[in-house]
Amino acid sequence: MSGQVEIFKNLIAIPKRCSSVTSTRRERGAEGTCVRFPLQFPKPVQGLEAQFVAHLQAEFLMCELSLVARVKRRSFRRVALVSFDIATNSWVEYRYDAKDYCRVEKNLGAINGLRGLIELVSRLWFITNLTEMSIHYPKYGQLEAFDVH
Amino acid sequence: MFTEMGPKVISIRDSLVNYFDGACKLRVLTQGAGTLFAIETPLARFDDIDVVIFVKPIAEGWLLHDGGKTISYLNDHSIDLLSASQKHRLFREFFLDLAEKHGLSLSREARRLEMSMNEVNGRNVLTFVECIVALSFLVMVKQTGLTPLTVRSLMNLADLRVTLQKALPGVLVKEGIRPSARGVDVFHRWGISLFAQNNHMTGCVQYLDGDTWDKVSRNILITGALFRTCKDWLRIPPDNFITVYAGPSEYLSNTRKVLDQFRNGAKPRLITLENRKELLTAVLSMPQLKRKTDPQKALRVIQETSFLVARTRAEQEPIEMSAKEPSLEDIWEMYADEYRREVDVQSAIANRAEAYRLLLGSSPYRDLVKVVTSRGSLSREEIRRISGQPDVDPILDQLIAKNLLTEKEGVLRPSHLAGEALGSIWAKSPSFFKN
Repeated sequence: MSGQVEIFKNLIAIPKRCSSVTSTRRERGAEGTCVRFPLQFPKPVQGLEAQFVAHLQAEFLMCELSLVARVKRRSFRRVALVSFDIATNSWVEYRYDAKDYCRVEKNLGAINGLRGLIELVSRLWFITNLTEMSIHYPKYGQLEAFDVH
Repeated sequence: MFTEMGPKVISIRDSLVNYFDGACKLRVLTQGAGTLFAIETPLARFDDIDVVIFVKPIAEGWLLHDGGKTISYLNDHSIDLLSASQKHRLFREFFLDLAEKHGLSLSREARRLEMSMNEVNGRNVLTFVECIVALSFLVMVKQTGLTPLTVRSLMNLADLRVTLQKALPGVLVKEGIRPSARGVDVFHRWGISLFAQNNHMTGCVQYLDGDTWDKVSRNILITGALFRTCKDWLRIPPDNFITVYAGPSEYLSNTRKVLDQFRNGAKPRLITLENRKELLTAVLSMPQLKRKTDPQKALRVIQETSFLVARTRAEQEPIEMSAKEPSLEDIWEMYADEYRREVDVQSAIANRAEAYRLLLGSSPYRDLVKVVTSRGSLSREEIRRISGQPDVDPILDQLIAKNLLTEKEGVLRPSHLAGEALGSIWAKSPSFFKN
């Protein structure tokens, strides 16, 4: 099990690249959306598959961004999460251990806008080429369509 | 008693109330044009994150929701409550049970759990938080498996399945039995199915368990029903229906008596969980499975598994596997019953020849039978002299018991079985006689 922890620790540190946007899976609703980007590793990592998931909600402070991964033939599980912590009034990065318990890794402070949040997470988790992510909410004007370049 | 403990208990209750009072935090978050009310509770989800609920005033009262965090969490662990697929059925049913009981709802558009209340009620809020916590534990259930079987039963069944799969490499061994009652397939978890060919069940091993006599007797009814209807529901002959008893040993005799009452005296073969050798012999007696097995390998598996079971049950020292060859008695016991009955003549002859090959492959049996066969008839004294072994009497007695040699008036002759066996061995490998 200790080896497993190392695998998932390294997974965050390894530079990752988003695969083509055509393979993006979107579950779109009026208020909530889940967007998944399959990630590719720059060098071949055997038996590991990772996804960047954006859980987007109408109120910006309810959004969560997560990194999920799985070993071959297992189901996905969370490796890391960026969420708004109402206790500290700031964005916080959480890491999950092998027993799926969560602990605070880093306080990211205040962030203005979803675009800034995604850019920060891209740098934090070494995700490159996270582009052309466009989400539009007609009902709520505060979340506008945006692209990350 | 109460006078001494009373103040302490009251203080514990007070500290709990104080803790809840301090840990339940209310936040007012302003964002854009709207205002967001959030309450953080000290009750944690499975991943140890405290549950936060959001409160929104609506026309009829108040709307509580979790901001979609529970759905997001489950979604990351491949549990989709919004999906209608069969894969997520058990999780969805669990949620629907909760929803019906506590007035919870799942908003498909907002991807979040919601609960409305007409007036402020702390009990409803606590129920909502508890439901979120319960749903988060679906992640644990997914990892450990969602099954009505106990851990002991699961281990026993997995153990049986692995044993049978290793002993019968050409046969497909699947978990569960699928009886088809009036054309409707039902999945019955308490058992193992054996497939000699694809999509055609050859036999099944039904698992009979229970801690108390109540449970055992109820399960006997299931066993009896399956056995009586095995031709129609399972499409297998009754001889291929085997029951493994894993309940308490004191109820074994009662179980046998109750099973006697089914089908006018015909009853399923009842084998205890510990008796692996008997189980494998029973499975190998199925004519469709016999052709696909290697008896020597099967025996080795029996030895290894019985050794492992004995070791693990006794919780002794680390396991050291012995590389011992199967003994003569093991080989003989396996085929003796079949040899006596001679159910399938062709396969019986083939298997008997295989048994003799194994038997004669081990010295000193081989040498003695060769000596006797080459000379036609010999006395014990002559055999002792020719073979050069002083103590041959017990071995000769064994060979006589196995019908390989016959003794008449102090003269030993090879039986027709020995000749047949040696003949088949010679046909397969002539080099055998040169050793």
